[in-house]
Amino acid sequence: MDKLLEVNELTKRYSQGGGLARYICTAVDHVSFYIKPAEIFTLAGESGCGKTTTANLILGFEEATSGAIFHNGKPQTRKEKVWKTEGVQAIFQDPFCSFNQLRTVDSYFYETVRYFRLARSKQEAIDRIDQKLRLVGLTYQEFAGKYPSEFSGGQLQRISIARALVSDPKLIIADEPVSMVDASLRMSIVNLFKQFRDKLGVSILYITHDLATAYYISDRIAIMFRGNIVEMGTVEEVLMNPRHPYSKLLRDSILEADPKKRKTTAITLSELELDEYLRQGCKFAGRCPEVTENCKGVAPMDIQFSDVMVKCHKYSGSQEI
Amino acid sequence: MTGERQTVLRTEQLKAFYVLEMYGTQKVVQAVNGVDMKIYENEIYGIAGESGCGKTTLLKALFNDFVPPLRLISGKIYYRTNWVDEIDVTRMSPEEIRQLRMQYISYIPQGSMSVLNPVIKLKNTYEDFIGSHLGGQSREETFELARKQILALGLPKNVLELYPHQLSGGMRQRVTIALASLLKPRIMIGDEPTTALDVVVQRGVIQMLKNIQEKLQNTIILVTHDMGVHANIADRIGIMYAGKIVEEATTGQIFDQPLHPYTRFLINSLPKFGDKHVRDSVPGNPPSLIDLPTGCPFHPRCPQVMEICHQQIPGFSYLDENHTVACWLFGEGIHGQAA
Repeated sequence: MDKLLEVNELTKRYSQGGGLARYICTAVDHVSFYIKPAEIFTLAGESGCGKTTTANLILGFEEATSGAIFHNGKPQTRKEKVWKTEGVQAIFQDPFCSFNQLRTVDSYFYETVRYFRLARSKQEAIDRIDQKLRLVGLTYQEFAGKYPSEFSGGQLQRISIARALVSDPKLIIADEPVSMVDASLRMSIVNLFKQFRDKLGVSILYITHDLATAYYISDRIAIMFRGNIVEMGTVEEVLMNPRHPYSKLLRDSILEADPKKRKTTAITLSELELDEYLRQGCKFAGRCPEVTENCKGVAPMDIQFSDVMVKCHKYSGSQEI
Repeated sequence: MTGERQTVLRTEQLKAFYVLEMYGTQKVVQAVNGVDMKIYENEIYGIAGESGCGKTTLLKALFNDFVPPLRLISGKIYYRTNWVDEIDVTRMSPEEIRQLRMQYISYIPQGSMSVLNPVIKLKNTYEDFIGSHLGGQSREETFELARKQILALGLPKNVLELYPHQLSGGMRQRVTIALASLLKPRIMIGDEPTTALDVVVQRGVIQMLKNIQEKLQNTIILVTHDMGVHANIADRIGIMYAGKIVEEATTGQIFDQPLHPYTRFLINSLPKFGDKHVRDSVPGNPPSLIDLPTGCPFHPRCPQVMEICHQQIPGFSYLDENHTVACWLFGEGIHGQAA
């Protein structure tokens, strides 16, 4: 099978404190997944589950403690980072922070064009930029020479998407691209992702905690919890028929926009993230409604069903339902 | 049923603009542009709308917090502070307003990180807070009050000994809500209290707000653009567009039979589980509040635009007791009056 990006046993440990108070926190714990060409792959989970750290590791902003990242079959090395290749581009959460307020937005586009040597003349560069801006519903005329403060948040986010498209990437890493944007614009942005996949054949690593849009656009999904992928598979299977107790909790926590589906049951929230990170055995054991003695001591293994992978003791011994 | 209940907060043609003067030219941002609303006791009132429609400014106005460049242009805000008469708060002195705050009306801000002082422990934040609004308590009494409330709300009791940065975002937001509800206010105003929280924590925060409301039997005014939150806890919803409330109805009516074209876009654009059909978002961009289009502010984006929409602003049409809409599709309406 063709794999555009493959992540193999990726691990990142942070050590905090000094002397006797020192402890090691495993933010990303032996995470493996792959992304096929023209596919939207979602990494979902609550805040502090390691999904952004995973993106940072792939982009080379941070160095992995162990594990490997393969882009088009080639491993990422210290010299050749994935984000420095024109095939991979990133979009970040807060569009107001991704642009320097004192620089015009078009300067970012020229910088990308220059860095990857995409045009031979100024006119060629402008044509290329205009073409990309049209994909997101803007034109070069309405954007040239303007500063970030002259755009609304939704427009800026679309501009940063157009910026990512300038080098014709095959993979876009989108880290919470819609969480700062309000509901009506959110759909216009995820619709763009759908279009890019269908028309341009771009793959997207979509990192989010918004499962409703994840369901709407993605092909496969991985649910992360405290550094582990606890369930991974096709979006239909994972979200409509969740197997892991944590996926069930997530699925059950979504406030659906339907007054007939109001939540009536109470849930328990985690008290301190760190306790969960440092927990032996299954990290969800503290909150799991189906916890057994075994869960508290032994870390669960990955169990493969036909198109879903689940990391839970509940299914050990039953390889196929 | 609403006919019997008392209002706790009422506005009349409230207009609050940001007036900016730069190099001799004046810019006026018409953020709240003629809002009439009645909010009753013991209800959760949701305000929805896209960013830049004036939601936050409306809340500031309701809280009577006019800090330049925000100015109250015209209109009245009534609180019913002593259960009998309505008091026009726009005429109160700053000291009187300060005394009403937190006891009658309190505010839950959006960024919980910027509310809690990062260099002092939470128990000292509580001390500051109780000291300035109640006064006359000893330190031990203050801590006791704080401890009781933290326990009653189901938060771990050691949070009082921690600094804000040691808490997760969801925990900080819950502590902020706990602070806002400490003096049992009749009205709590929440400005996007769940935005930027993830799904599980969001549900916990919503659950906590609902519990507080049921316990205190007070009113919560909740602003968020997340229709999922509204569907879950609001009793009535007002849809805001370009500084005006364009539709107001009970939650069931808003979701089952939205009338205003803008509300319909909002409801239909929401993704649903088990349904992967392409969903359209609202076309175009929100209007600039500095330079509003003539007539109905939604007409440049409206698919059912008519001749009259370009020229005149629609008034409110009453469809039934609870449902009002400002749109020419539903008749002429009554100007300057609303439910």
